[in-house]
Amino acid sequence: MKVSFNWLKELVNVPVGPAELAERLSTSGTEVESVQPVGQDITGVVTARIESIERHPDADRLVVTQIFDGTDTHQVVTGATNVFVGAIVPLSKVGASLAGGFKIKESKLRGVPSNGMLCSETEVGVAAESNGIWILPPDTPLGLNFSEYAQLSDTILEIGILPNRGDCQSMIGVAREVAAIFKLPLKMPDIKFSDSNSKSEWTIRCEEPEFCPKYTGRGMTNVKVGPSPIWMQRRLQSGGVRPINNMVDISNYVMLECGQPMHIFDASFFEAKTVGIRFATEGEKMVTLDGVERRLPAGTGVITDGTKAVAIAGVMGGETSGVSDKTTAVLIEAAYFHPSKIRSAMRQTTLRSESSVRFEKGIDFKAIEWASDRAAGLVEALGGGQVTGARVAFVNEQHSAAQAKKIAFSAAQINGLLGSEFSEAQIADALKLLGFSVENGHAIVPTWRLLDIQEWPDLAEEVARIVGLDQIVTRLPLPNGLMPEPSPVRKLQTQLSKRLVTAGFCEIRSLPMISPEDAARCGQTPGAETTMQNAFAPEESIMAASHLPRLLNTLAYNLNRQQHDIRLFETGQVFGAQSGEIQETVELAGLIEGRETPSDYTEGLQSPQVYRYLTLKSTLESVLAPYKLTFSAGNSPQLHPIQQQQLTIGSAVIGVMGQLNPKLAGQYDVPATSLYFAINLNVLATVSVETPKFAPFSKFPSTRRDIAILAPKSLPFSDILTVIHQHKSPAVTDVFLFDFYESEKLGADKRSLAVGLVYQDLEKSLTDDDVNKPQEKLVAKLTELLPVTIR
Amino acid sequence: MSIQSQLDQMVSEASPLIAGCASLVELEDIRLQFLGKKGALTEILKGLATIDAAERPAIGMAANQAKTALSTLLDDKKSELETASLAAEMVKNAIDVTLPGVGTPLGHRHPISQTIDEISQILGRLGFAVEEGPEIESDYYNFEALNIPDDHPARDSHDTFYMMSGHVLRTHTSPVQVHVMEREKPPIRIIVPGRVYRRDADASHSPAFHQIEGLLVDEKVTFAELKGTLDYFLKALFGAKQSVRFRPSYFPFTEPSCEVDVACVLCQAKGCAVCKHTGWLEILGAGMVNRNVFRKVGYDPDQVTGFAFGVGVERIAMLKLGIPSIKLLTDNDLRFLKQF
Repeated sequence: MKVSFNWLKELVNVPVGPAELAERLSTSGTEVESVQPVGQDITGVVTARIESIERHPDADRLVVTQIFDGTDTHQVVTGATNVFVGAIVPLSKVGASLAGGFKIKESKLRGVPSNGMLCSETEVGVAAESNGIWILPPDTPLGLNFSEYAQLSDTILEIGILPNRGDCQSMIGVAREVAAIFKLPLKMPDIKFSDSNSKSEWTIRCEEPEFCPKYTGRGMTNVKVGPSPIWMQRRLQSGGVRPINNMVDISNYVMLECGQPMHIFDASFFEAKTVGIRFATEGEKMVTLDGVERRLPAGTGVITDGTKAVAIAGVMGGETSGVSDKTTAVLIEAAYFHPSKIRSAMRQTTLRSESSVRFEKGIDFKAIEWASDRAAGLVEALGGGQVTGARVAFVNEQHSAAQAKKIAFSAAQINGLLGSEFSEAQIADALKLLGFSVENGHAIVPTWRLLDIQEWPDLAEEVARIVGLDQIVTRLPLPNGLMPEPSPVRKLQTQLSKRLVTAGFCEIRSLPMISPEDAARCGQTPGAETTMQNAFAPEESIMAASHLPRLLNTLAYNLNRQQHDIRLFETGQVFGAQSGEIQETVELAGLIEGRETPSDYTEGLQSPQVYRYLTLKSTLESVLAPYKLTFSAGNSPQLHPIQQQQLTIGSAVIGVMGQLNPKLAGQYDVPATSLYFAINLNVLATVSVETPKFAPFSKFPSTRRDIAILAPKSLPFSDILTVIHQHKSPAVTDVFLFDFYESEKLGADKRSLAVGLVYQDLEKSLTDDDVNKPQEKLVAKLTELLPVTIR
Repeated sequence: MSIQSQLDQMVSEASPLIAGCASLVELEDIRLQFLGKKGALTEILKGLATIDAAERPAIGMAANQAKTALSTLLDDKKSELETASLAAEMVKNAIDVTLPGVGTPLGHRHPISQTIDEISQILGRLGFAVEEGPEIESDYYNFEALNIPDDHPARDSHDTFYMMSGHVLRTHTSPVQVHVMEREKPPIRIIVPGRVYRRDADASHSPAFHQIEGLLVDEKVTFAELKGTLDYFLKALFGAKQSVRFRPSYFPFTEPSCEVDVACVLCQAKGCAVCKHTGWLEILGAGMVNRNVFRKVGYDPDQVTGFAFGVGVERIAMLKLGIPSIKLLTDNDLRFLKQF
C-alpha cells in the first residue's frame, strides 16, 4: 500500500523524516518496501486556461492552443486529444523544470512556434501513467504556482501488508501504528454534514446474515457529479488511484483514508428503493463495471435492487448501477462482507479490487458507520448533495465479527514466551498504545484487530514489537541430550556423493519437473500423483521417476557449450506411485561421456583413453566399498541391450549401469558411448555391512602359476572364472586376469585371456608338487568343461 | 734405496694419479697398480727379508701407514666419482617435473549441497539433527496443520503447484515439523534441508528451490533462545562481526513471528542495489511455534514452547559465493559448477 507522507502528517504529527519513519516502521513490524520522493523539483508550472484550439496547418495529430495564465497568453502546440476550450490545465512555461529534470524550451513543432507544454500527471511526477493532459477542476484559479497549489512534492512509502494486518490497509491504520511507535495522539478527520432524523425511504433486505452481518445505506439527493478538487485528486494519486469524478473519488478516498471499502450507487437505478443481499444462483449473469458479462459462481455474494444483481458484493460494482455524469441521487453503501467468502469469490471470479483485498483481510465492524458518515460529509461538501433520510442498516449483532474480544494474559506468560523481564506496567502501556484496553489480567482487543489477535501469544508479539525486539536478550539454548544419527539414506547420500567427487564427478541439482516427452523416452508412465495440475508449461509438468532425463538434458546442455569429458551425478528424490500411494525414492545416478583423463597434452604421453565400461565398473566398486558389489545381466530398455548390468549386493538389486541405448542417446543428441548408472539408496540402506574380521596371512612364500586360455569371444569371462573358482586348489589365494588380447592372428572369433593364480599355504612353503598337480587338474577341467584351448 | 724411501716414493707417486683419476675403472687400475697382489706395495715388501729382525716391526708399521694412506685416498676418490656419476645419471634421466599433473581431477559438489552441508554443520554444533520428508505433500501437512486453513490470505504468498491427484508440491519444508512432532515427543531439535516449490518464476525466482527449516521444542523455550540460536548461526555463517537485526513479521505457524536481517554483506551495510539501499538483507523468517500447531500434533501448548525458522539456501549460497542469478544454480553449466 502506498502511503503519502504529506497525508500521514495530517493524521499524526510525525516527528521524523520519511527515511527514519520507514526504519521505525520496519523494526516495529510494518515492512516498508520502498521510500520514493515524487513531484520534487518541479518549477515553472502554472494553472492556465485554454482559450482556443486550432488545427495545426501541417500535422493531423497536432493542435495549436492559445492558453491564458491570468496575465499572459501563450501559444502551445500539443498532441493531446482530451483538451477542450475552457479547460484549466497545468502549463509548463518556457524555462520550466519537470519530472526527471526535463527542461521546457521555446520550440517549433512542424513549423509552428510552441512556448511551453501542457502537462499530464506523469510530467509533473505524480503518476506513473496518465490519460492525456491533466484537466483541473473548473474553479481552479489561474496563474497559480502549480507545484505549491497541488502539493506536488511528497514522499511515498510503499508498505507491504502482512496477511494479518488488514487494518494497515488505510492511512488511518498506518497513522495508528505511527502514533503508537512515537507515543503521539491520532488526529481523526472531522465529519460535518446535515444529517436527517427522518425515516429513510430505503429498505435493506439481507438474506445472508452470516456473509453480510452489517449493511448500511444512505440516500443523498441533489448531487452534482464533476471533477474532484485538486487536493483530493492528489491524495488519490498518491495512493495509486486514478481520479474519475467526485462521487467515485469520494468512495475511493474514504477507503484509502479509513480502510472501509465504499460503493456509491446511482439511486435512480433502484426503482423499489430496496437493496438486497443474497447469494448468486446457478447460472446467474451480470455485467461488471469493466464492461464484461460474467457468469457468477453460485454462492457468490451479490447486491441486488431487490431482484437482480447490481454488484458482486465487496468485489466489483455493476456497469449500469454506478454513478454517471447524469446522476443526481446516490446511495452510499458501507458494509461488512465475510473475509473467506470474499476470498473464494475473488478466486472463483479471478477479480481482485482495492475493495476485495480489504474485505478479505477483515475490516473494522464498528467503524462502518463512521465511514458512511465520512462519505456523506464529503458528498455534501464536494457534490452539493443532501441527505434524504437517516442512515439505514441491517446488523447481525450475533455475528462473530460483532463480538468484543477479551483475552486473558499475565506478565509471567508473556515474559515466559519472550524470555524478557517486562514489568506489568510496561506491558500494559505497550498494549494501550496499540488501542487495547487492559484490565484485571485481560486485554480487550481493538475492533480493528479482531481477526488477528487470537491468544495471549499475540499480545506478547504486540508488546515485543512496540517495546522493541532488541530489548529481548540473546541467549543460546541449553544443550540437549544425545543427538540422533542422520538417517541411513542421508548418510549414504553424503558419503557416496563425496566419493564420486573424488572420482572426478560433478554434482548437478536440476529442476525435478520434466516434460511428458522426457517421461516417455525414459520409460516413465506418469499417473495423477506425479502429473501437475497447474504447471507453468507442459515441459515442466511431470515429477521425474529417475534422474536420467535431467542428466541427459544437462549433458546435452554442456556439450552444446563446448564442454567435454563430462562426469555428472545427481542425488535426490525421484517420484512414482503404487496403487494411489506416492512413492518417493532417493536415487543416486550418474552419466559420463568422453575421456578418462581430460588433460589434452596427455595425448603425447599415452593414447587418449576413452571412458570404458570397465573403468566405470571399478569406480562404482570403489565408491560403494565396503559393500561387495557384484554384477548380473541387466534389462533396462533405456540402456544398450547387451552393454548393461544390474548392480547387486548379495541378493539385493541396488541399481543398474550400462551404455545408453543408442536410440535414447540419439533423442537427446548425446554420444551413444555415454555411460549411465543409477543406485536406489533406499534399497542400499537396507543392505547390512559386516564389520571386517582379521584373517591371518602366511609367513611362507607364495608361488604363481599362469594359464593362457584361447577362448571364443562369445564365452563370457565370468564363465571361465566360475570354473576356476569351482576347481581350484584350496591353496589358491588369488585369481586375476593379467592379459587380454584379440588379434587377426588368433582369429576373428577368438581371444586370448591370461589368468594368474597365486598359491600359498599358512603353515608351510609349498613344493613344486603341491602347486603343479592341482594346477594341471584345473587346466584339464577348463578344457573339459569349456570350449577353450590352453596355449 | 731404503724400504722407507721406497714407501715414501710410492705414496708420492700414487697421490697425484688418484687425484687426477676421472673414472671408477681407472681408479681400480690405480688400486691394483699400487695395492694389488702384484702391485708396488707387494714388490716393496719383498725386500723385507733382507732387513734385520729388529727393524722389521718399524718398517712393517711404516708399510701399513702407507697402505692406509693410499686406501683412504682411493676410497675418498671412489666415493667422489660415484657421487658424480649418480648425479650425471639423474640429470640424464630426469623428466620435466614442471609439466601439469595428469589424472582425473577432483569433481565438485553443487554449491547448494555445499551450503546445506555448511549450515547443517553449524546448527549441528547446537544439537540440531537432520530430518527429511516428502516433496509431494497433502494439503493437510503443507497448510492445515500449520495453521493455514483454506481461504487464509497467507496462502497467497504460497503460489502452489497442485498435482492431478490433489496433492501439493510442498511450498516450504515446514510440513516435516508436523511429521516429526506427530512421531516423536518433545524435546525436538531438528533441521530440515530440502527442495520446495513455488509457482512464481521470474528472474529472481525458480519454481523449485531449497530451504532449511529449524525446529526446537522443549519446556520453557523462549524468544531469547530463538535470538541466540539465529545470532550464533548467522555469525558462524557470515563472520563473527556480522550485525543481525530482528524485525517483527507474520507467519501463520509462529507467534510472535519475525524476519531476520543481516547487515548487507556485499556493501558492508553502506547501501547497494542488492540490499535496496537499506544496508540490510532479509535472510530468514522465524518465530515461536503457534499454539495451534502444537494442538494439531497433540502437544499441550501450556506444557511446551518452541521456535522454528526457515532460511533460503539459494539466497545464502548466492550471497556467500557472489552468484548473480538464481538461474546459474539450476542450469548446471560445468563452467559454473567447476568454480566451487
